Amino acid sequence: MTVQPPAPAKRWLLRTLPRDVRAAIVLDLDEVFQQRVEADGVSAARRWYWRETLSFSWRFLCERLTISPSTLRLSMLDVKLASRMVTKYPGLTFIGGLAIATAIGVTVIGFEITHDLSNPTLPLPNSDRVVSVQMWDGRWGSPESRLMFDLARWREAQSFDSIGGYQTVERTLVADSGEGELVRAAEMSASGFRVAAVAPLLGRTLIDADEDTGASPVAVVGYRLWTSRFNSDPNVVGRTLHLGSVARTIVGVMPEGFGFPVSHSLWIPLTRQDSIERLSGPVLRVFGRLTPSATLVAAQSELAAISARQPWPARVAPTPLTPRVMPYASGIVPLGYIRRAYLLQSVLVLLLVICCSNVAALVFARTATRQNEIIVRTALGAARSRILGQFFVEALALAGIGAAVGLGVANATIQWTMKWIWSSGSPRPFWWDDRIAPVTYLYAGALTLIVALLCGIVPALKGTRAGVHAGLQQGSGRSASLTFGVGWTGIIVLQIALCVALLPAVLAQGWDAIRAQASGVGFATSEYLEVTVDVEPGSEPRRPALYRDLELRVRREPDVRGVAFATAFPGMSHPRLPIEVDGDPMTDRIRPQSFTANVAPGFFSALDVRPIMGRIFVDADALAGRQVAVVNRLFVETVLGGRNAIGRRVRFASNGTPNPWMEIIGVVPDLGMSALRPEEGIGLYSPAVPGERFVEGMAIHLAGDASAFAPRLRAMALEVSPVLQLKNPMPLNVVGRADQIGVRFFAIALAAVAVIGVILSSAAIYSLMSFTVSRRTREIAIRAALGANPRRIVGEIFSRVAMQIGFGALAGVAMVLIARPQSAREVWLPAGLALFMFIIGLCACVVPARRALRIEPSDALKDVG
Amino acid sequence: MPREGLGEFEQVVLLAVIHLKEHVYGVPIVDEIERRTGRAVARAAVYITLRRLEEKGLVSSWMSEPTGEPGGKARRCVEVTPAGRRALKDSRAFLESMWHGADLKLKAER
Repeated sequence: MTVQPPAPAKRWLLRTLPRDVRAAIVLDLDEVFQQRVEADGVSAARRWYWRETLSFSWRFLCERLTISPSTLRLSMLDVKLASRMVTKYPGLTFIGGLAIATAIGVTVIGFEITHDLSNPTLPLPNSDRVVSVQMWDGRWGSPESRLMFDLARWREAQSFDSIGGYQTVERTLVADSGEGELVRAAEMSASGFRVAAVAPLLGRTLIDADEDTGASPVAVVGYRLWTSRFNSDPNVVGRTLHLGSVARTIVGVMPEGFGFPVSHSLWIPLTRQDSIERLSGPVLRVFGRLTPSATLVAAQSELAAISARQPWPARVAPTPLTPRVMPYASGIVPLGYIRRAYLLQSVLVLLLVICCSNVAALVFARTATRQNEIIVRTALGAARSRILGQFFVEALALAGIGAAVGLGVANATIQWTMKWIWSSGSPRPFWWDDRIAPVTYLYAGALTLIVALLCGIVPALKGTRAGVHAGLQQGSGRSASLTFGVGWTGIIVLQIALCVALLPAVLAQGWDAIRAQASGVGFATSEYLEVTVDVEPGSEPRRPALYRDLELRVRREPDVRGVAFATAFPGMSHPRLPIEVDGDPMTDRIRPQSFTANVAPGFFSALDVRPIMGRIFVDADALAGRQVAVVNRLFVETVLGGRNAIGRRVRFASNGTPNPWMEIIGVVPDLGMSALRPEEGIGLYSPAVPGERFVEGMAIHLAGDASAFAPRLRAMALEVSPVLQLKNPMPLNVVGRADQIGVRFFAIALAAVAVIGVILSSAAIYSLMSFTVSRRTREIAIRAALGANPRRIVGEIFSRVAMQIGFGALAGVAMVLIARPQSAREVWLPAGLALFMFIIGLCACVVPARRALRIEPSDALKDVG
Repeated sequence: MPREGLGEFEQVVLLAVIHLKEHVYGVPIVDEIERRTGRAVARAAVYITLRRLEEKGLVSSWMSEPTGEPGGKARRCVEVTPAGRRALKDSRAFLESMWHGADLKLKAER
């Protein structure tokens, strides 16, 4: 058997070497590797391969940066001195390392997410030629997706080897045993497989004839489905697959890892509709494979020319639609996600800058204590550049430790988060790689170098500037005192302002998330099985009848205590809408917002909830379409000011046609409508029939294990009709957690970063203030010796510090006020933080000021002259 | 405009390509240099130099047919272009004009 080179090394080479030579180099290295295996053995050959990998990466990086590899050699002495500094100043190593680890860790996470969303590498042959095509509607600034007509015309484009489209559909897959499972399938043109250019494992892929109207229904199954549903049966081709109400013949199996177009494991043909009108038909995503010589711009121009020739149907006015050809992932991942990722990345880089300025300030304070060392080394002949180099290596050691820890934490965080996201049922794109990409490591390396430059070179430049020779003449570093200039003062003021303005809001969000996690929603959610019920397209008119049938069957089960239908259940995300209260003058100025849910009449009874006042919904409310509402306790307290709610009229605010008024008929307890901030969970319920007005959520109250009921529920749904689809049946407590965990996780993570930011800022302010006053020890002592009033001296010191911190704090509070705080907490939290920093700054002055004032006047005057 | 001269390693690589007659790609080039000079060379340096020479138009490259053995792969083969041959000759002439008479003096100093 042929021994293969180390796969990670090979992957690294394929990702980092220039595109034009990477394949040739890897092939040649493979050849030499085989020779080495025969000559020196496998282990030695692998070691050799790794050495060559590093050598190639390093030399090509230098080539790209147009620098010579030999100019970047470091002295071992610098490295030893740097290691000594790391252990000699453990406090600085800990605080500085923590700051850098936090900053680089979160920045790396941001970069990795942005990279994976906007510019991933597809695991397809010649993947750079696989593109997405959108029809951009200039009127709305969004893509038009009814593209069946245009897709048929685009097939003649010469810039594409193949062009195709798909839509994701959900169908109930019925097993031989009669069990049903909801699966996502790609209803795709046969050309989709030509675009992907991946051969099937068994049988064939879809062919153009499969798209014909009246063609025999077929399906191609993915590797996961083949192994889980068909026990990897090698004779699966030709077997029948029951998908909803249609029996399909399996014609092929795709290999492991193939999930094109996004995360699909089942493909059915998209029926061709030659006579379809423009801007009608199914909602499609279009993709294509460019020819080797085509560019994005040329392909886009060709598609635009084809589309411009097509007629508009009489019912549609000609609209400004423009085809856009873009990298594949850009057409799949919503633009909003990518924009948010870039925004997050910008915020994180800002955090990195703040952390760097803090660490630089701490290093500067340390540099000040090493003035004598610098003077002596200068006297012994060390050039300024040599000393700068040493400081740079010291900072690099500190940044390197921080970066290593940060990368480790970032890697663990990404792995954990992605594992959770995929386990919660989110579709995993076939190109998504949970591991940190090599380019992200390079990014982290570049950040480490920048941090080292900022934190090492900047303080060192200041520390080795003029004054060293004066100090040398006196044989002491005292006269060569370092002081903070306008730049450092500006950084302190800006940092305090940013801390006061930004961190309290982040801290508050984190605190809310922790508190919400600890509190429940008022009843035992683990006893409820929640499931979203849907029907196949075309069966919508039967929806209410099918739901009713399913509900009746479920109610007959011995373990079932109750069944509820609603748009959302307690603990889950609820929509929030502005409301108006009839006759309430307050609503003219401020429109309160309320969480809302459409619920079936049995909703409150199934949750064992009794009204505090009035009554809950009855069947007639929903069936007759009565304009009534039930509100929660917080609604009464907050919106109605505690007044009697029964009989009052409310409606959803609208800028156009006014919505009808609804009469409040009852008040119920608060039922976790806002999972993150329960105190803001103002709620309003309106009645609806199951299956209408988006009432598709079903919760079943069970006497036993809620999750154990899921298979039985599937069987009952299948008995009712194969067109019924059950999506993600899960215990309600799990659904609620899954619904909110992403928001909570990020809120807590950001709050943790904010806490570190506060600690770091406090440490930096303390050390800088303490350092500033220490620099004035002799001046204070002399002034005291000459008879100045100590109170006046102390007052002067404190007033200067108070001015710096106070100015920053005021700027921060002003920023908060400009942003129009919504609650008192949003004002007192920043004010509290400003006061905290003020106290920290004053405390930092106390010790050095007292020490200076205790110096004997005779000792202070001895040194003068 | 004066033509840019060849570096020492560039000359070494070009000469190795000339010495090898056919199916010239990275692996035999490295072997040839090491065999003739008796020194180990950084493999990456050879590929970077080849890439640079191709950018200067002194060598050209193409993908060969897959080799005959099972699983045989196509190779990125190179050959020296006429411009590359001229550059080599110029470099040699340039150096020889400087060496002219110097070797006698070096001998005399021994």
